[in-house]
Amino acid sequence: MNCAKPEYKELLPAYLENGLGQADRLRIEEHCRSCEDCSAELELLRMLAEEAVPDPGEAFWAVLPGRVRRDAETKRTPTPSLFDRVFGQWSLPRLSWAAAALLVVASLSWVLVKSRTETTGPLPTTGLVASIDETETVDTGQLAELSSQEFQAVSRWAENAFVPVKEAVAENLRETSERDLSEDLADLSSSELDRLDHMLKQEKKSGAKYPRTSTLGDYSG
Amino acid sequence: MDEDSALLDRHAAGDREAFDELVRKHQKPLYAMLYRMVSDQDDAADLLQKTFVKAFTGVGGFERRSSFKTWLYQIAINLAKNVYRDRKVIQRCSLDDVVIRRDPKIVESLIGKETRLRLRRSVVSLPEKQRLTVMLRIQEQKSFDEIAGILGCTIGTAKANFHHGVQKLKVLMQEQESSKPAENKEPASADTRSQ
Repeated sequence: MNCAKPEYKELLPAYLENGLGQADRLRIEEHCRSCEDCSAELELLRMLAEEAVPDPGEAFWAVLPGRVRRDAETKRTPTPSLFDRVFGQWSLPRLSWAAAALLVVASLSWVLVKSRTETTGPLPTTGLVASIDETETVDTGQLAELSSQEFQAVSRWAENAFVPVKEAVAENLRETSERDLSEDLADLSSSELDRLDHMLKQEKKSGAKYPRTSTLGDYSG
Repeated sequence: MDEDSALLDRHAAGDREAFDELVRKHQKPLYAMLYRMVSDQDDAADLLQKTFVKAFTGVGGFERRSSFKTWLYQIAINLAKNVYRDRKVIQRCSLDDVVIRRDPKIVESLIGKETRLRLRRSVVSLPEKQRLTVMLRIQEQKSFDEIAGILGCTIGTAKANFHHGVQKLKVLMQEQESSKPAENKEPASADTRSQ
């Protein structure tokens, strides 16, 4: 039979916890003596409250904080990246990997620069200045981004690559000194010839030496 | 500022001992609740450690809108729910267990032990929210306000779940009482399942 006074049931947990005042405690006890439903419920709750829990022992309690901290710190350690998981088994030190990566970058840079030079073709031996003007300006900002090893690699390449250019310049000068300028001078106007003659005389006075195979006097007038 | 908040502040400031103190302070009540949820010592111990580890690693995100204790109970209950469901609530409630759990001075008669076993079986048969509410109110002595915070419901819902849970417990106990002759033929150690 259900209790007709549910307000007593609401107080049963507090009664079990000794959370009621003296007056309320007495009211509950008196009610339970006459109410089978509330009495059974109080007994049920008492059994639940008294259900014992086995103690894992002092050793367990003592080590738990340390175990928690260790476990938490392990979990906080970042998980290895896919790269590390794949290549981490290779026991090369990080510096070796860095050196290898640098070598690859330097090699690729060299191949790219080299192939570009080959596409452009060798510099012509005549009209050298014009060819140089047409060449793209070197971006010094990009050079600044190179590592010292890469920069050395590019320097070595540049040294080798410009050998033909230097030889071409020297060859051009040699040819100029040996060539007969008659045809070239014939294209000049008289005023240009006068000015050139004047310049040469001035230079001669100052002691400069130029290779020449003919005098300008023959063409003036 | 309460003691837990002060310890959390110390922990945030780099005091390694502060979290240890929090663990020591809450470990026993939490373990008792976990044991009552899963009815297994090893599982309860494992869940207890996982609860604190989760709290330790997630304490940065704890916004202190509830008390640290309520937050801990929320973590523990959520972890235990998974174990409870994964195991399909196999309760190893043997008579021997009941005897061991009791203080030898107040060991009751065999009838009393059987009553406790039936109670245990009835508790695990309750719907989850009712079971948790009854457990928190009676065994953990939480107020309905605290229970509402832990289970994420209103105080009214917590009170209703408690009322329905207790009424259902009584019915389940009576049902088991009426099927007692058949039960007595079973061996003393028995597994119970629910859900």
